[in-house]
Amino acid sequence: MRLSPSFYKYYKERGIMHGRKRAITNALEFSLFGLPSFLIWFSVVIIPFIYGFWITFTDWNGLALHINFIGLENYRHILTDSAFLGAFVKTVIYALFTVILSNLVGFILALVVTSGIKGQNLFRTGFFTPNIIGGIILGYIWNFIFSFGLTKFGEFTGISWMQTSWLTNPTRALMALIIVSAWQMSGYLMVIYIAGLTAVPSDLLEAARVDGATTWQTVTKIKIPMIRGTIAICVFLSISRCFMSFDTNLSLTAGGPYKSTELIAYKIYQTAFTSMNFGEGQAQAIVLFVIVAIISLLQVYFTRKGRVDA
Amino acid sequence: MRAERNRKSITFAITLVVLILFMVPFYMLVVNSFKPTAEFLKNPFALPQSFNVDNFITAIDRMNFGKSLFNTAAITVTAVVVNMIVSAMTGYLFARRKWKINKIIFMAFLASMVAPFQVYMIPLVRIYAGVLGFSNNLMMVAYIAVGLNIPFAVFLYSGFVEGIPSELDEAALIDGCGFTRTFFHIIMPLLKPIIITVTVFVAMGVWNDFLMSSLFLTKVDTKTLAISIKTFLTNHSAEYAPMMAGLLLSVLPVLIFYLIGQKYIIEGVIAGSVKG
Repeated sequence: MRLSPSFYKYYKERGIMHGRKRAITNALEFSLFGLPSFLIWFSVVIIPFIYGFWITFTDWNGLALHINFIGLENYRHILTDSAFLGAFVKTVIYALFTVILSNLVGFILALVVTSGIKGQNLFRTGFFTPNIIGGIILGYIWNFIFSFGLTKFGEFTGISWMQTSWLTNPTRALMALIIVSAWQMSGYLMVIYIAGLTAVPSDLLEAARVDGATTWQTVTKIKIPMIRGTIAICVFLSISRCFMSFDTNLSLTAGGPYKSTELIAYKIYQTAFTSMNFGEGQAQAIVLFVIVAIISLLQVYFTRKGRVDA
Repeated sequence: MRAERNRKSITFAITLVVLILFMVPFYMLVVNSFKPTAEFLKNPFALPQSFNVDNFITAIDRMNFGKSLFNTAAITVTAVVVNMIVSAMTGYLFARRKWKINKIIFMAFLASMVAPFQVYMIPLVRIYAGVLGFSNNLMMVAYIAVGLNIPFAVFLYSGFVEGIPSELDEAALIDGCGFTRTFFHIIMPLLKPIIITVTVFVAMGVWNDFLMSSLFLTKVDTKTLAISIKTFLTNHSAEYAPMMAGLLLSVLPVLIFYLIGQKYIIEGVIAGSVKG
């Protein structure tokens, strides 16, 4: 605790608590204030993390009594397993399109909403709505729309490629996942972009207006450079969310048709709890962890850089 | 000036149209939850011919709705309250006592926030549901949710306490208030804004959680809303009509909260974006 000078004097004169008594008080304070959360966290995060590492070196299937130590076999297997690599490639494709689409839509919505039009609050609340509802529920709503809504729309309008459900075609099922994720995430990113855009100094924008800058110039020459930090946050946030995406994957496509839309998080779940291959599933989870950790480190790096430059 | 105002009106109108299109899935949800299968197969876009509540009755029965809602609420409330108390206390300790051990734990908290849930998923299930036998235990799910949310909550609380002048604590100490009493009587009331943010963040995460709860809660009596909604679409059957009603019922509680406190909810949900 940093003490102000006058208090420090008081503290010394009165001579309250020093030496052993202070040490005991410190220990009590730590036990009461720090220990409960530390122990809960340790039991839920650290022990499983260490235990998880151990599992990856075994061939445990949850039932066998004999658990064999197989070294790096699980890692070797997943790195040559075409199903896992396929899930990885699909996740990259899914992330690429979802990130571009949701950031673009989120940014444009934020620009429009902060342009001084009426109903700013209505738009903010409206576009954000999908983010308060769980991915499972959203996925089922869209499942209905793709299965019955769009097909009917195709029938009514005579567009032939809309008449069969998107969820029965591998490529379109992945597109459906991208659309739903972008639909949900763009409202989330919009709110972050709004925060960034409202922090752009208004005198700067006023000066640009006086100098006769067009809207396009204001956006590209002032607003975008001024919110580089925000852009970095949004891009990396959406990338890591894509890599961890599970709920919509389950309720919208359930990995289908024919396992064509199994993204990496869904694949881990399948390996562990459908194939009952805990060691291999955990090894896949560690790979995902490494990917997400790298994304987070890059995010910290670019956000700091963006802040310094701006 | 008038041209400017016209332009703004046009922008407003276009954005409104975009918003309406954006909301179409919710429209589809509401209108189709009242339709029997034959009716939505014919036209899923039209308003229902009659306000038929059969789907809702089936959904409430099949989802064990009352029990599911209660389970979801019980887990959420427990997780939020326990997390708030332990995290706020630790946040206060970390902000006011710059001991080495506190700094080390704080760094470990921050580092652990990077890992995705999938890394803990399998070991958590093996240890707590398997070895220790806590499957189908609602409080175990709440306990895990508390633990997973501690780092972020402590991070927010300690950051907030740093902004409260420590002269306040000193004055309380001079008046004879110990560390504990200072926290509960002086600091805690000042934490209200950050408590709201953390509460919303944790509550939304726990309420909407499917993955973790589904691995622990497999009995009909312990299922949460997000799990029991799965009963309509399985490998063997697809009952879309009652499913839509079930989805609408599951969305309503959250939606009502959102309409009341949208400002706080947006802030709380978005708080996750500063992670890392």
